[in-house]
Amino acid sequence: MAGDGLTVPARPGADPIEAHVRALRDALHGPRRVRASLLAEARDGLEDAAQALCDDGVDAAEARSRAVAEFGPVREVADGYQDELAAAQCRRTATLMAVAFPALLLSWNLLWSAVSGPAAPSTPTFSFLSRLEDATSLVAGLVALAALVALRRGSPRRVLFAVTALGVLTPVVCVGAALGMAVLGPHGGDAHVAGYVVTAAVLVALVRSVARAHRMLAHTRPL
Amino acid sequence: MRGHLDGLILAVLESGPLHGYAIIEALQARSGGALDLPTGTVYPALRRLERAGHLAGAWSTVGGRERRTYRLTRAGKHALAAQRGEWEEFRDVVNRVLGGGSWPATG
Repeated sequence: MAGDGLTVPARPGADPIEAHVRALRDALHGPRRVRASLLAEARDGLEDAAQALCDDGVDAAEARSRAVAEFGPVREVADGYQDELAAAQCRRTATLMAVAFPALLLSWNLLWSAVSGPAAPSTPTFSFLSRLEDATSLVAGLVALAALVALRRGSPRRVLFAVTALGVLTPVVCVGAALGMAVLGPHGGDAHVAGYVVTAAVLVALVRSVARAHRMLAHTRPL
Repeated sequence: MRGHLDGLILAVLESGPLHGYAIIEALQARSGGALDLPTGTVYPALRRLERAGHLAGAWSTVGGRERRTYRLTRAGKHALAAQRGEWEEFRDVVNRVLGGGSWPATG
């Protein structure tokens, strides 16, 4: 089979199962722990297949090569594995969004209430920015929840795209609105500074997760 | 055949939990060796079915080795019943068309 592009040619003396698992690992991109679990299961399956062939009287070296051939070429089976890695990354990002956006919304509302009081006067622009931030966070949290449900079915590519877009747009709108409110609103002193630091840390974690999800898009097959 | 892989996997797990390679062996045995798909496509299909909530998978020690074992969930049983219903309906339609029977009288 070597050289026909169907299986990865093992180096002379190299174990075909190890070579095939390594080639599969190199073809996959995604969360490390999930990838390790997928590869461990693939290796187990290959070892089981080789053992079954040996039990049927096939020579050990031949059994390992045949197990690899029966497993299928990396280019043919990798898409299925990559879908699961994309789904795992998408789930992480959507979970972070579903928790972080409503939590930030609630925290900032409490913070503003504490600073300015519930009946504090505000300018129309400040009120608009406040409502914009609230609505954006709420919708983003709900869309992230919907994405988690949608992930249970089929290819994760469309969900991955939606989560990536949401993960870019929502922080842009929220940070813009927050900056405007910081300029227009009452000054909250240390409490606000702490709020900005926590928000920035959450957004950095979110952006990193979204960037990973975006990289998954390039490696995931179209629908 | 690949379009029906999910249903076939659910069917072989109906009788009890199995690990990945045992599922492949069961598929081959129940198909009389006619099911000839790359075994490497079965493992991600198992994870996909787990993601859909039709299977529950967990690592456990089987035969002295760590293996990922899968069992059918309640949702998986419902999905299997639905797939069986759809397949029987499809089979009846194809039988009627390919069977070459006379056209039903109209009017």
